[in-house]
Amino acid sequence: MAGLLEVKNLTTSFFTQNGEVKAVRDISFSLDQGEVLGIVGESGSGKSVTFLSILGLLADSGRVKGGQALFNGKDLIGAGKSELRKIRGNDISMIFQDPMSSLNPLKLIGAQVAESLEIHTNLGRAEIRRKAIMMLERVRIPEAAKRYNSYPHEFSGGMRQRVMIAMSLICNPSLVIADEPTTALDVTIQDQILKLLRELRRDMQSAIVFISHDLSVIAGMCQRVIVMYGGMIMEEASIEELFETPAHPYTMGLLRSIPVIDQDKDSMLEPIPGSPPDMLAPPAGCPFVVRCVHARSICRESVPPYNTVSETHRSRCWLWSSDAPVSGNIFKERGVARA
Amino acid sequence: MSPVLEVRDLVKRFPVRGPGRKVVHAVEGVSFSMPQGETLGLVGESGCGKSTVARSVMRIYEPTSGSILLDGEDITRMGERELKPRRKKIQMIFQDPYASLNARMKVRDIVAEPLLAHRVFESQAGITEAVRAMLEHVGLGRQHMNRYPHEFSGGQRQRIGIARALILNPKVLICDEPISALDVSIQAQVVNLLKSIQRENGISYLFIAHDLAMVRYMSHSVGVMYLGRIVEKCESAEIYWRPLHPYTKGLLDSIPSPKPPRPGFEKGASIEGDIPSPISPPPGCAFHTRCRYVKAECRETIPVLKMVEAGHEVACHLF
Repeated sequence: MAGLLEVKNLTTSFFTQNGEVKAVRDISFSLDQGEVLGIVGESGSGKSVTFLSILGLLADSGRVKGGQALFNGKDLIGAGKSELRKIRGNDISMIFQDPMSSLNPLKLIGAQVAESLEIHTNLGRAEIRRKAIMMLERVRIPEAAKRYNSYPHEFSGGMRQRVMIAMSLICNPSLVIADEPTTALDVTIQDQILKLLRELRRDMQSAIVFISHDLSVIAGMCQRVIVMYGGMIMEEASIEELFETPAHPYTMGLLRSIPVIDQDKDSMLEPIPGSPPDMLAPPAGCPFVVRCVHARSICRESVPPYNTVSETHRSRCWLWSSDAPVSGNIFKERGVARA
Repeated sequence: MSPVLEVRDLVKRFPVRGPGRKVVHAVEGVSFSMPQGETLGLVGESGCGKSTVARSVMRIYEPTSGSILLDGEDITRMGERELKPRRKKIQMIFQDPYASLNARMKVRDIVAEPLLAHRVFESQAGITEAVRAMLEHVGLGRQHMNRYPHEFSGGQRQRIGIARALILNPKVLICDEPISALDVSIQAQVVNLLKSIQRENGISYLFIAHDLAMVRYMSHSVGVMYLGRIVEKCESAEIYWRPLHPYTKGLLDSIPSPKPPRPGFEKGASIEGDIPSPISPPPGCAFHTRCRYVKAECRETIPVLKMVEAGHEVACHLF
């Protein structure tokens, strides 16, 4: 399959009163057409900033310091404003977390869904309206023709998120970036929206990047996952590999700190100690070093290189390096046990 | 053992501004009792009334009707002067660790404030020592005393909030979504801290959250709320193994599984439709608009919470 998006050495910083916040540090990954890629990480890990950088949507204090983002072979980082405007909402669209603040409260629902068609196509008014109503039907808005003339405040949170999804899909984009699309929703409504996204994924040909802090949500949506921490990609794997043989101490910590519904109540959860790094002054070595129980002196000194675990699995951890000790090494002992 | 906190038929309605005498039916007849040293979990979606229960119990809201018994004493209608000494027994921690700490106060003063308000110590030195000991208890140190909240991460701020709530040595701690604003890796730290504090000093928690897995893990018994009412109440292990109410079952099915699905497996949505407005809740069972087992009776009569098995109460016409 042809590569749709190829990000190379992307580096983004925010310049604040207190200094330079190194939000995204030299990350590279690629995405194929029609693929669903999950990006998981905690607040401040750089997962949203990565995609805001690619789309030229950074706040004024943010700047892409280096790298490329090739979309169908064309670099978006160097692209001018008018070029990006032709792409955004048309070839690449975005679904935001908060459907309350991402819709214009003063504009009709239908007009907001139709807006991208007005900008990016030469269709007539009646045709645009017909397409917008069809799109509202596809995202299961009941009585779509009637609700076309509603305002956002007349909709519930779940319905507003359906409108956001309709807006993002109306131009049939080749890439949809969904940034925490269900985080603001109640669990039964989240369940409905995830079901809708899975159905749409089947019917449409768009590639989807699904950004979430919730590994469980990613598990049900994606084929491949990237785990971010401290502005870097710590691990990348197929969804099965990530859950069955996680290859980074941070990922393992994340998996252990979520209680499963039948968790033994007398057992304590195993939290990751400490807190995320201060991106004004990230550690010189691995960003996870201060919280990692396996940390050695080399981890403090330099950033670990990627280790290839399998064709589809890479991990940035010194435990994988050839000179790392075998005894007490969670990854090497696992390899020995399997061999 | 007699319960430390008992709530009987609590009702709280809020008038809506504007034409017509509309009211929000936030809580419509909630009863529960909390034994010493145990945790009661309240779980439900936004608008189900769980936070209103918490705030009414704290007397932040004045209950419309019903009664609240703290340590056997009815505090529902007590005046502030009478209530104040009893407030030492019941304290609260909040969801947002950013908004619930005064940004202009040092950590020492934040944690010391309840001691000053209740005149527990005579000397400043006594207060400082009590604050230091309490901070240590929640995993912070002496070096943190003279810092301001903005210098702390979300998890650390929540620890400061817990220290402030525990410094009066209360019998009951109301925890209103104490971890939902925190990152996943930090949530477990705070939950473990709350659990170990309970093991040490036998405090009771009213633990409110929308995350059923976390509530089940934290609690001895669980109440599931929907539109102002408890629809199911039982031991926390039961809620997972034998949920009875259709809403509880749907809620459990809605939780995304922390495992990739089997290939080709497509899961349908568990509960269709939206939560009705608490301003005009549906007649009969409030859940009937979304329930797949709905009968004629459900549209007319409100089901009462009744014991269907030992220790397992359900409000549903199926039982």
